[in-house]
Amino acid sequence: MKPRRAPGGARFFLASLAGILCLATLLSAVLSPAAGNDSPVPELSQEETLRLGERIYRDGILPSGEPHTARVQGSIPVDGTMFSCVSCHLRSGLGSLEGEVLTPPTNGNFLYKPWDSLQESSKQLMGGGSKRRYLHYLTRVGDFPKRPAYTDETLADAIREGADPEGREFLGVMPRYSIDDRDMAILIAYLKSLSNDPSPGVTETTVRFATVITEEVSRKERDGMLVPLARYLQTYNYRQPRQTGIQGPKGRLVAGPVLPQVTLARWELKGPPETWREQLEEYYRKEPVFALLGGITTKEWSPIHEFCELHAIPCLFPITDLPVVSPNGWYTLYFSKGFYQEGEAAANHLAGMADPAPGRTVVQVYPDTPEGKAFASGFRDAVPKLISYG
Amino acid sequence: MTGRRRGPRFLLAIAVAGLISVGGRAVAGDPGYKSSIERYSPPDVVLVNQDGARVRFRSLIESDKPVVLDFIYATCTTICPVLSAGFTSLQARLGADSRKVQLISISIDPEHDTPKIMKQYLRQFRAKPGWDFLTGSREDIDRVMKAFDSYITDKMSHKQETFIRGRSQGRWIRIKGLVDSNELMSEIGKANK
Repeated sequence: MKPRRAPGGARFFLASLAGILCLATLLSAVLSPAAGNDSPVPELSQEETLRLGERIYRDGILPSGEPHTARVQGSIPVDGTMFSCVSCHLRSGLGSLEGEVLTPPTNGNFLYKPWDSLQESSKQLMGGGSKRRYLHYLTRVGDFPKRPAYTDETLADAIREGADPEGREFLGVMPRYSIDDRDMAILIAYLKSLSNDPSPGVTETTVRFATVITEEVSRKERDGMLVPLARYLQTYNYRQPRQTGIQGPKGRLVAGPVLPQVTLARWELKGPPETWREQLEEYYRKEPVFALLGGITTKEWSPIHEFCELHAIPCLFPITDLPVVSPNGWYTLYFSKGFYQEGEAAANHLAGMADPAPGRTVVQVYPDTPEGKAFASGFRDAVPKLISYG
Repeated sequence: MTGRRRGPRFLLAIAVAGLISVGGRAVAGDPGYKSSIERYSPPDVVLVNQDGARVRFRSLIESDKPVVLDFIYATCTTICPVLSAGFTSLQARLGADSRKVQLISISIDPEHDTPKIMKQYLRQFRAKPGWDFLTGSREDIDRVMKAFDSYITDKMSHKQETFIRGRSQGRWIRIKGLVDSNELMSEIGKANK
């Protein structure tokens, strides 16, 4: 079991980084507060309203505990257990492009303002702030018709009947929801709050990132992670002011007003993993960041993983053989499941070569180290699944 | 063989249901869908279904039932849930006869879509017997996609398409765009006339 360093990972990492820089730009576009935030349901606190609204949006469950119901494509009934708002509009509410369908943002900042793509495009040509850049991004991948700002009433109609304030119908893939007035008020209150607060580490001019390195990592290993990353960000910063949109097709693709500059802090962690959490909190208090990029340790990543989950900080592709293997983690993206995955691969291999004779015993002998345990648990978890293959 | 003998009457019922419900289409501004008749020769590959069982693809699509096929993946956010809800709705309309139409969803994300995940997906869409979700090696999945002229390299750019096997060998109706359950019933009826 030699430690792996994700072959070809660097390129993948940098490609993903381009994605997160784009995301940071989107988030910086939603800095201004939305209108009206008092709880619309008198008997509920604002906090409770938002919690219930989040449950409708993310899980498709109404305050009654029942899934919401809707129709797609005119006549196909669907309910909240199949999919919900979050499926297409995403957790951020910033929308998506998938399967030839462009899904617009659904957060209050977008909905409660008029939309006029032509006007927005002309603003683009004259330069402007990151918000315009965001709108430019949308018009590049597709377009939505011009419409006035939504009101609570027209938004409720849109969600129920599938038409904008001008009466233009949405595509059939947008469900037409059956939601009563009270639940609608809760959902709308949530949409108004969605992606509404400024993201930590993001300002109009700067997006701050950090990378985590633990002290035992050799000079060579840390440079292997850090040098390409720092160089990439440096190049990114250098290129921004030069984007005029007239430097060939690629230039046009990324054309637009000047983007925020990016910075990368190095968060070095010392001592045993139990003490890392405190050190991370200290770094974060001093200088909040939008996301963690890369990172490297020879030990388990879990303290950093948990820190990111708690503060809702994205962490992109840390180099670790001991990631957290969990279906619930949201904020950290790993290259692989590390040694756990090697255990799964060994189980797969075994299932492929042996006669599936029932009653055979597999004895695992493994070192009592984090690596050995991760391997063994990957193997153990994979074996029952393989047996069911028959 | 009972199922086979009852086939034509059953198909007629589908066609009639399709005709009756033509008025149900509500989305005025929708571009609708296009259907075309194509000839495909599906590859002889062995895929794995939601129960982990190995399934010879050809024997599944060459059954004497009407066959409806689509390409989806479990983590898809936009199109697949709608395609799948269409299958759910079709099965609901078939009621106890759900087995009489073979629905096949082929994963275009075989690296992720394991039998366990596919089974959970079908449960989420309240699939009844007669709807199989198939995965396999990347190579075999690519062969199936290519055979249906649906090969894509990036799952995010997959198309809104449904395929219905016609009565004669190798003849398929290709539906481009999303259809509602009335339209799907009507197309199945036409394909099996």
